[in-house]
Order: sequence, then structure tokens, then C-alpha cells
Amino acid sequence: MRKSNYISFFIVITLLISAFSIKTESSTSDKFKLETVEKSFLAGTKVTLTFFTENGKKPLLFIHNSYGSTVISPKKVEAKLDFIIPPVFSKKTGILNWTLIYEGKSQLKSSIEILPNNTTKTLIESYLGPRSIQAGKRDYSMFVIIPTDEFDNPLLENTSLKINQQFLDNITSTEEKTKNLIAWNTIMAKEKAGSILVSSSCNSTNSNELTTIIYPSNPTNFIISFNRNHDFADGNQITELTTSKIVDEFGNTISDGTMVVFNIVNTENTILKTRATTINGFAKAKILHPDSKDIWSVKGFVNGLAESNTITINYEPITTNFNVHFSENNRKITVGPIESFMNQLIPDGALVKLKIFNNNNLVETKTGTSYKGFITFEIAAEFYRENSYSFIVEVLGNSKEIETKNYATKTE
Amino acid sequence: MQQKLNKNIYRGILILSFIAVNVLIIYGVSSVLAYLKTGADRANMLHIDIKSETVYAPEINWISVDNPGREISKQELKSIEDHYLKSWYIKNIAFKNNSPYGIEDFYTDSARVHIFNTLKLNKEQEISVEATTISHSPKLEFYSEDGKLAVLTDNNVVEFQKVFQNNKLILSTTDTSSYKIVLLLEDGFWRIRHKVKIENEQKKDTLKTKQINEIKDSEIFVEGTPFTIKGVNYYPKETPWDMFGENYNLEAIEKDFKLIENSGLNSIRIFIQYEDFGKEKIPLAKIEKLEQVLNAAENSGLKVIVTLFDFYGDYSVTNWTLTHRHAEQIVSAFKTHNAILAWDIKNEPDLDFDSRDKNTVLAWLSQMIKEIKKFDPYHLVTIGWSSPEAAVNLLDEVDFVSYHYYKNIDSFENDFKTLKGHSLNKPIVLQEFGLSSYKGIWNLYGSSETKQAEYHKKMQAIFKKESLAFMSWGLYDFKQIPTSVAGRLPWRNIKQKYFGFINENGVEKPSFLYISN
Repeated sequence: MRKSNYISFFIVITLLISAFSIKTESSTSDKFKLETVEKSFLAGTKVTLTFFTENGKKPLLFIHNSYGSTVISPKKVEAKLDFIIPPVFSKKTGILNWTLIYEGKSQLKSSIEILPNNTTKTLIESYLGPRSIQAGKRDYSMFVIIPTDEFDNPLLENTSLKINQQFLDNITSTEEKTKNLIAWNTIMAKEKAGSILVSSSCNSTNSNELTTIIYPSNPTNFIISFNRNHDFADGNQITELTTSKIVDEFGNTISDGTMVVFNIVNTENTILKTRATTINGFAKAKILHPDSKDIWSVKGFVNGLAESNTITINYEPITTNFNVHFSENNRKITVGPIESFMNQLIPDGALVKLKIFNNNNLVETKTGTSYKGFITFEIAAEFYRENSYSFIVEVLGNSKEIETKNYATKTE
Repeated sequence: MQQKLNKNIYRGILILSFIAVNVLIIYGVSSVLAYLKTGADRANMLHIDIKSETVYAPEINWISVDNPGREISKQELKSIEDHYLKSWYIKNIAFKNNSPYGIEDFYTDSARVHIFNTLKLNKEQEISVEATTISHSPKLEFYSEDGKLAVLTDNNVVEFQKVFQNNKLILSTTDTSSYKIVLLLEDGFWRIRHKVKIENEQKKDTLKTKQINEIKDSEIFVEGTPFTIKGVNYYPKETPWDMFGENYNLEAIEKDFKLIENSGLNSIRIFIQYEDFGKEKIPLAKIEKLEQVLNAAENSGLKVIVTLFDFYGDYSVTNWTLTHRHAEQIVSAFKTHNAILAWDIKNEPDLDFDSRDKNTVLAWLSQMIKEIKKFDPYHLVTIGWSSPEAAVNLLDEVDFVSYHYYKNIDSFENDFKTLKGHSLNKPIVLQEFGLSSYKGIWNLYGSSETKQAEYHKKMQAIFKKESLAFMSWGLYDFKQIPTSVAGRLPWRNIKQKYFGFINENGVEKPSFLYISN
């Protein structure tokens, strides 16, 4: 029993040894011989690899290119084996590795190269970007061109092509050579805003045109002015703030829609703001007149980029005389008629303040706006239960003091 | 009477079936309603909740990103890298299944036709190709100012391919190719526009590194002096097959190492479970634990053979790169660690030959040796084959030959001689051997503790005579064996518990006398 075990083990081992010795020899390659001499082929042509073999063996050919791999069977012509590379593979450029397989083992291994076919029509694919750049000498677009043959294979390195460029009256063309499958060029921005057209041509094929737009550069400092109907602080008229034409450093009018902010500081150091966007370089912002004497200092900004000079705007007070009339047991106070600078009734909406005091303590400030030169306040008995109140009425910076009025309970 | 009963039965059946039909209808309607109500939530619209898992991780080293176009940001480079590797992965999957699924995402209109045509050709002839790339070293040649076009040269891409025709493997091959690639950014995807295979750039010879451990004249040398392994396979007593898990106990391990050293041994073999160590993304905590163990071994003067990929069983080509990253993280972290004697690629991979196909397993092992050598040129590499017969595989690729022996002691010397005859003069290490001292209801013919002691005595005598390298299995008896080791069947499982020199209560068994020579 044990002896037979020994014997069988011995057989196994000898088999293993013999298996190894075959593997290490691997000199089977002389069974097959490559007959094809060419190492490179044009894309799209018929590519055949011919091998010489003995005793009608039928190996397979494994091929591997940039996009995939497959296995092909031979066509037998006498003692020769023709492997016809399928068009999918013979059309694509690059190295094509092949391995001749026989009985699950690689017998021969090498590669051929497929070259772009210049006899076919050249096709051009071009990419331009960024499509918008800033005027000046800093910014640029890149124009990348990939010329290919009819089978979508990039042409060989150092293929030369022409890049054309048009800006205003100026048409230039430069020559570039392909490297790493592409040819490329920088399209520098100009100092003038506008658009640059580019195109390219290679082997008598022309590309279509591509456009990059040069936008004006950053705005430079500007000047502001103002415009108003009259200089009275009537709280009603509108003052218009206007910029000069805002341009970039090269004199291009800045892009429409650029936001300009006007900062206004009044005598109380309160900041008022108004803003407008530019059209043709001008921005016009509007703001209501103050309702009492004021001095504004105004400055315009394109935030973070440019600013204007500071201007001062004075608003004159309107001196007006008005009556204050008490009725309905002093519970109804009518202010008016309020007159403006030409003795005309003040336009509707003028702000009127009524300060109510009790024993010199301010109880409340009522505000209202005028209508047809008048305004009425009610001192409701439900809320104002004290016996006496005094008042101050303020209209457009003018004020009038009213002596203590009696609100004794005798009324009810 | 009979009729009345029948009538009642019919009635009952009718009523019951009516109820059943109603229940079914209500159930059906409600599940339709439930389905309609589980719709997309708003987060889905933005595609921000997509959880992606790493499926492809070949080694990628950017040679340079300096280019005459625009300077590239790290984020953009990462996205090019990510999509470029995915283009390979998707292509590999397509060629495996001969289906163009996903190709649109990573190849432009004009480029994808070439792949589609090749797939069609392969499908007609029932050819399929399982492929993976092992390493990429791309160089950014051009990145356009608008960030929408990039040109790469990917030099010396190592590709492994298995070619099948009619489901029969006809070739497996590893090639190195270089490519020039034009990528376009379309719809947020970097898509391949042109891909041209070019001549490989000649690799510069790398400097020969000074190895910590090396092989000279079929002997293992550690830091310049010959080293004969006298070792034991080690798992802590309380945590067999889970050395770096939750119950990791460094103190116990340190104590064990002292014990091993005092018993006259000079090396141990430990195991790293693939999934436990986080597959392709190893948590730092695991690396730290391993470092502590290796430091402890160094302090006790023990050399360690680290067995990787324990419990790993999927050798599929699509999965390769993930295992490479697993190995890279462990191996490169400890490439200069003095305690390591060798990396054991995998424990008993020959047992997977039947279920996973011998060629697949061998190809994986062979590539893994290359990977580990790349990340750690300083230490040795071996494979722990389960028998001397299996140990002839990949002989010329391992640094020394390791095999396990659980057969009868009488044939040991003969088997050893046969193996030695084939070993290409490489050192041979008996990496596992032992005898279970279990004798009981599940194994009436088992060996007793005294028989186990006798076995080890005999083995040690042979080792001494021939001055052989050995590592016995194992230091301890265990209370519990995980079912993943020896299954649930008690006659298999229980036997596994009693291979130790020290029993589960920490008492030395008679065999402990013969743990070394």
C-alpha cells in the first residue's frame, strides 16, 4: 500500500518536472515565423500579417490597440497563414500589439504601427476658449486645433497648419505645428473692445470661424454731477445724479449694466444711498429732496474698482407761515394752509410733525403728510385723558409752538 | 345532513376566499400607493447624495503637471485623474461583458464608435477580454486656458489581460503600453476624444536598493548574517483569527512574545485579514496596532513573517487594483521595519485553485509579488502553500519557498527532499506543521497530548539533523474557532482547537518541551 503510494507520488513529481522542463524550453517559436516585413501601415489600408508555419498548425492572433483588443483567426494559403487585421483596428492609428497564440501559449509577440493616412481628406476640429476676454494685454483665449485624417486619427507630429486671426481691419496668420496630437495658439486680447475671429487651415482644409469677444476692461475713476429743478428742501422734488462717461484704461466705454452706487452723507452724518446701472457708460441715479435744510456730500463708486470726485449739494429751507386751528373741544387740530416758496400750496405729501406735551413732557410725536395744503390730527379723548396739553407743529423745518390747551372734563 | 355540511363548507370557502381576495386587493393597492409615495427627494436633483465606492484603484503617479497651457489646480487634476481612470474601468467592464454600458460617459461621440465597433466584433466571435491596468504614470502635456481640454501622455501603463473565446481562456498577458490622450470636458465629464498608443519610453534603471533581508546561497540573511527560522504561528490566546480586532490586547501580546523568545524561538508568523483591515482603505488604527505588534516583536528580538490577504477569496481581474492598494498601504508603511522578515502573500492559496481557477489565482499572486516588491524592496516575499506539492508554483518569483505539512511524519523527509530538488536552490521554510491533541467523541482515533509531544520531539530531531527552518502551528489551544476557519462541523472545528503547545487555560502541554531544538 505504502509502496504504491510512493510510486504514484514519484510519478506525479516526474510529471511536474517534465511539465516544467517544457515550460522553460518554450522554444516553440521556431514553429512559426513572421513573413510580413513592413512595420508600419497607413490607416484604412488592408493590413495583413503573414506567418509561415509547419504541419498546418492553426494559431490565433491576439491584437491590441488604443481602443480595444480582439482575436483573429487566420486564412490559410498553403504553408502560410494570413491574418487580416479587421478594419476597426486597421483604421485607428498608433501601435498595434499582436501576440500569436498556439495551444494557449504565446508563441510570437511584436507590434506594428498604423500611421495616419494623409492621402485622405484632412478634417479639422478646433476649440476656442474662453470665449470672452478682457481688453488689455493680460487676458487671452486659447485656440486648439486637432487635425485628423478621414478616420478620425490625429495627424502626425509636426504637421504644420495655419491659424488666421481677424480684428477690425487687421488680418494676420501664423503657422503652428502639431505636438502631442494638437496644435495651439494663444489669441491675445487687444486694447480695443470688439470681437476676434479665428480660423485655421491644414492640408487645404479650412475650419469654420470661431469668435472670442473682447470686453472692456475695468472702469477707471469718473466725475459726477447733479441736476435738479430747484434747490428747496421740499421733500418732493427729485435730484438726478449723473456720472461722466465711464471708460476703462484704454478708453473703451465700460459694459452696459455696470452698477454705480452713490453714497450721500448729510449734515447729520446719516448715509443715504442711491444706485443706477450704466448705459453707454453713463449712470443716472435719482433721489428725493430732503424735507429740511441740508447739505449733502455725494460720491459715486463702482464697487471695488473705481470712484468719483465728491460733490456738495445744498438744499435751502422753505420759510412758510401756516395756521394751526383747534376745533371740536380742541380735539381736532387742523394745520394749514401750508404754503411753499412761491406761496403756492405745498405739493401733497409734505411731512408734518405734531409733538404733544403734557406739563413739558413729550407724550407723543404724531406725523402725517399734507393733502391739498392741509393736514388734520385727532387728539382722541380715549387716549389723551389729561386736563391740558401743549403742542409744537413742525413743517419743512419751520416750527410753531402752541400754548397749553385745556381739556377739562366739562365737555361731556 | 351530509348535504347541509357540504353547503356550510362551500359557504365557508366562499366567505374565506372573498376575504382573501379583498385582502389581496387592499395589499396590492396599498403597495402601489406606497411605491408612488417613495419618490425622489430634493437632494437627488443635485446629485449630491450619490455614495460612490472605490471600484478601481490602479497605482497612479503624475510625472509632471507643468504644461505650456494653463496651470492646473489640484481639484481639477483630481477630477481628470478620476474620470480618466474610470474610462479605463468602464472600458474593461465593457470588454468583459461585450456591452457598451457607461462608455458614453467617458468617451466622446466620435471616440466611442471605435469601442462599439470592437465590441460588436468581439460579440460576434464570442471573444471576451478581462482586463485591468496595474499602474499609470501620466504626464500633463497641455491644459487649455478655458479648462475644457487636456492632453496627457500616460507612459508605461501596465495592463493585464485575459482573453477568452467561447468562454475558454486562450491567453493571459501582461503588457506595457504608452498612450497619448486628448480629453474634453463635456457635461461635467472628462471624456476621451483621442487615444493613440505610442512607443514606450525607455524606463530608467532604478538604483539597486540595499535589502534588509536577502537570500544568498539558498540561505536567508538578516542584516548580513545567516538566519535559520525557528518559529511558531501566532494568535493571541483570547482572540484567534482576530488579532487586531476589538479585543486587541498589546500587553498580552508582549507577554507572549517574551514567552516565545524564552522558549528558544526566533520568529513568529502573524496574519492580516483582508476585510478586517479595511480592504482598499485601511484605517489608521489598524496600521498603528500592527506597528505596536511589530515593535513588540522587535523588542523581544523576534522576526515576523506577516501573512497578508487572509480570508480573501475573490481573485477576479476587476478586483485586482483594490487588493494592490490594500497591500501598498500595509507594505509601504513598514518597508523599513526591522522586525519584518518577509511578507507572506497569502495563506494556502492553492486551496482556491479548484473554486477560483488555478490560472487566475497564480496570475493574482504573481502580480501581487511584483506589487509588494515595488512598495517594499527591502524585505523578502514568500507564499504559504498548503503542501510541498503545491509549493512548486511560482518558484522563480518567491524569495524563499514556504509550505505546510500536516501529513504523516514518516513521509516528511522524503517529501522535503523532492521539494528541495525542485526549489531552484531557494531556501525552504516549513511554515506550518503540527498535530492536534484532541481525542474525544468527534475523533476517537485522535492523538493524545503525549502523542503530540512525541510528534514534535521527532520533528525537532529532524530539523536539528538537517538544520531546517520551521514554524509550528501554533502557540495556543483556543476556546473558540471562528466558523470561517474550519466550518461549523464539530469533527472539523473541534480538532482545530488543540494544536497548541499551551492549553486554553495557559498551562504548558507536554509538547511545549519540544517547541524548539
